[in-house]
Amino acid sequence: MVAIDDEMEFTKAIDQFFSVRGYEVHVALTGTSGIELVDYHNPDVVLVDLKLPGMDGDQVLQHVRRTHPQTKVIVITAYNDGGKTRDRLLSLGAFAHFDKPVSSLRELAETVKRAVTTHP
Amino acid sequence: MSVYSIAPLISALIFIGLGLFVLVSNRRSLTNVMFVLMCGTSFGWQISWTVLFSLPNPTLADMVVRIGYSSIIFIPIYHFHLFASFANRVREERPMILVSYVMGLVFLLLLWTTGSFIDGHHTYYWGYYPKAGLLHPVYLGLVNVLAFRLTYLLIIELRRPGLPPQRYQQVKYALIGFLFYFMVVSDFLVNYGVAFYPLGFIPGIISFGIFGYAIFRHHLLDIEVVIKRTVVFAGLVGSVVAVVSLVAFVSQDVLVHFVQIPKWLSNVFAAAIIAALYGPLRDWLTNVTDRYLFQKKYDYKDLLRKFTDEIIVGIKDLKQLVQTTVATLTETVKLDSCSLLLLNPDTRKYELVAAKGLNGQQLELEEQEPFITFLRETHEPIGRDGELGKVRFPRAVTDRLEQLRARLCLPLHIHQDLIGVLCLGKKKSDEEFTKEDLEDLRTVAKTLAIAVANAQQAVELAKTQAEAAQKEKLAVIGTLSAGINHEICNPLGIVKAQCEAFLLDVEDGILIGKSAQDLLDRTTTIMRGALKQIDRATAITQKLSNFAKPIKEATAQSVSIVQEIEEVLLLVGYDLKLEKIDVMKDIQPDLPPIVADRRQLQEVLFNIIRNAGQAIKPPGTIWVRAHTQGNDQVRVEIADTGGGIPPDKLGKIYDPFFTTKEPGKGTGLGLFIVRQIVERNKGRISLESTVGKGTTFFLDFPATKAVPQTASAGAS
Repeated sequence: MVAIDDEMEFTKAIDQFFSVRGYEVHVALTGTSGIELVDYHNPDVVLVDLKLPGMDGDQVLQHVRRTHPQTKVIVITAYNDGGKTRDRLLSLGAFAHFDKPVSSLRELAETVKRAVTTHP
Repeated sequence: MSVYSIAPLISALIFIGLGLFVLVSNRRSLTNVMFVLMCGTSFGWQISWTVLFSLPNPTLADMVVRIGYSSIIFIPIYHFHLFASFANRVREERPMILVSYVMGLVFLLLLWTTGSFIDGHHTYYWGYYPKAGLLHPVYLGLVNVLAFRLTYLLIIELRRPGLPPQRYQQVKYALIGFLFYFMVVSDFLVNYGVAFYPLGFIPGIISFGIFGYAIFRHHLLDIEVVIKRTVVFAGLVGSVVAVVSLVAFVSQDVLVHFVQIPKWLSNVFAAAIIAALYGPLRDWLTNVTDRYLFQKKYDYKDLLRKFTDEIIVGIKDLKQLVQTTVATLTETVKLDSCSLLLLNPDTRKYELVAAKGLNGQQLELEEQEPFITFLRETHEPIGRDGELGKVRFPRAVTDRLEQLRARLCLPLHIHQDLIGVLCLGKKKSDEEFTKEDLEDLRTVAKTLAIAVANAQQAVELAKTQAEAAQKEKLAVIGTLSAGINHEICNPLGIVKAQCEAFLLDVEDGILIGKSAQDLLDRTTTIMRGALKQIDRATAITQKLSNFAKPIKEATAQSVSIVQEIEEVLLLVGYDLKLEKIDVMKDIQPDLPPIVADRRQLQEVLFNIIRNAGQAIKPPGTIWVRAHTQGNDQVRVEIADTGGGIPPDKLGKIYDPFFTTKEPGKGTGLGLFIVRQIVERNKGRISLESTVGKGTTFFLDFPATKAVPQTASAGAS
């Protein structure tokens, strides 16, 4: 999987958490470098923060959906706008949506697991 | 009488005239007393010489010489004492004064008992003249020591910093007068056999002329009221004599040819005329002396007018206005005391807001007390002089006058509302307030009322503006929610993720088999990370609440522009980054600090940078530059690559409520407030804008050499 977040500490936590659970994790701090990792590793799952400097989560989502249709994209947002953003992202093809701070890591882990095992 | 006696006679008369004149005035002042003594001894000297030069034979010459010299001995000593007193140095100069008096007495003794000081007389073509004895040079030494010390004292006084202009003039004339008098020492040469007619009387008279001028013009001695009363008295006596003689002449000498008038009748007639003329004549004489003799000092009507026109109307700050009014009135009208009561709209009480000569007492008058009610209802002044003095006021009113040490209280009205009371104490000259005074002061009161009302409105307006500024600030903060949310939620997210990950690792048994050291390392890392993130979130909330708090009292302090720019960028930076706007900095190292209110400066930078961000259609760049400009200016430039401001809107951008932003994005008060804050902090704001290229704001502040405040001191 590829995790993209501009918070280095956050990506570190994600990296460690999923690595010990047997995932191959690659992290990026910007949308652009994230896309490169996606193109290179062709991951099963992409975990991306919506708000990113430069290329943002929306663009990453659209790029991945276009170029890697089998890759599942999970978007994390800090927006609390009553589900509007969530609906929009899901309609754009996001596999799942998480509020920030991530409501439950356990849930995220399960979602990632679901994403990896689900085949379109 | 010899012709050579004329010169000393004239100077003797001038000296005694000026001396007598000062004598009848303030005898309590040491300076005045010493001046009279100086005049007296100068008179003694010159009148003796008048006699000496006309003596037909030498039999009496030695006697007259001794009489004359008895005066001369003390002239320099009185001089010294006079100017030491004038320069307020009597205490410091006491040893010198004492020694010189003792020496004077010794010389006096020598003069009358031996020939060692004055050894008889010379005979010159103009008459007899004292001959210097062996000890005479010692006396000359004393004269010179005193003269130089005295000149030194006066020069020191003249150079004293903060010397009032009037005092400066006094000291200047005293010094010039003395230097002329010192030229009189040339007369001592004649004591040593130089056959030159003693011309010392010339500088002597000039010096007294200067003293006289300084007394009249510059209040050198405390006698002006006496001069005035003397003139008025002389005028009145003269007129009484004139009227009586005129009436007597007309009735007894002219009319006698036609009708016999008894003498008593003409006297009654004269008395009637005098009675009728007395009042108006006295007023007229007082006015004339005021106008001609004391033009500079008593012409306060002009000053009052100027005061009304310039000061009262010109001062916008209420506190300054009331202080200046009281100070200027005290100074101009020469009052013992002066005070101003203003209605406090909140408490509905009349409070003493400014006072001179009231020993700092506090006072609040109720709206309903008789003193206030009278002024409010009648619009008339309360006073004790002239016509006003005849009104019988109840005790409650006169007690207030007493308490305010006032002889005249004028109401300050705006329409029917009594907004304050102006109280004037006794004039220093003891004169009453005349009808004319009252007219002038009424004008002052009217203007003052308007000025006070305006200043009070300005205070209200400032309050409203401060509230508007606060609203604007909160509105702008609202637009920052994304960035702030990010800065707070991210740290929380990280802490949460780290903790949860650890717990899940425990639950899932991932940590089984790890060594104690491994576990310790892991938890330590989590704790450290958590602390770091908590600090980060705390910092931003502190900055934000600091910024959002209303600024109650601006405090000028030395601030570093660089640091303030960093603080502001911390608040807006992430938002700009999200909007794909780069912020580039170009800040000159060692930029000198400026003096400003830190938070106001932050508000200014915040507003302008925020505006720049909103002007840009992403992507774009904001340049923040700071450098010195000339020797003493610091310039901050904030440039954006936005759309620029069209020329027709340039003139309006500082107008309140002018905005080109969409509703909800700004109140239109941002730049209006920015400009006010910049100017309040002694800065200037300007801008350049090109449509399609962007806008650059320039902020110029005076640089200081002080050390800037540190970051920790500012955050609190």
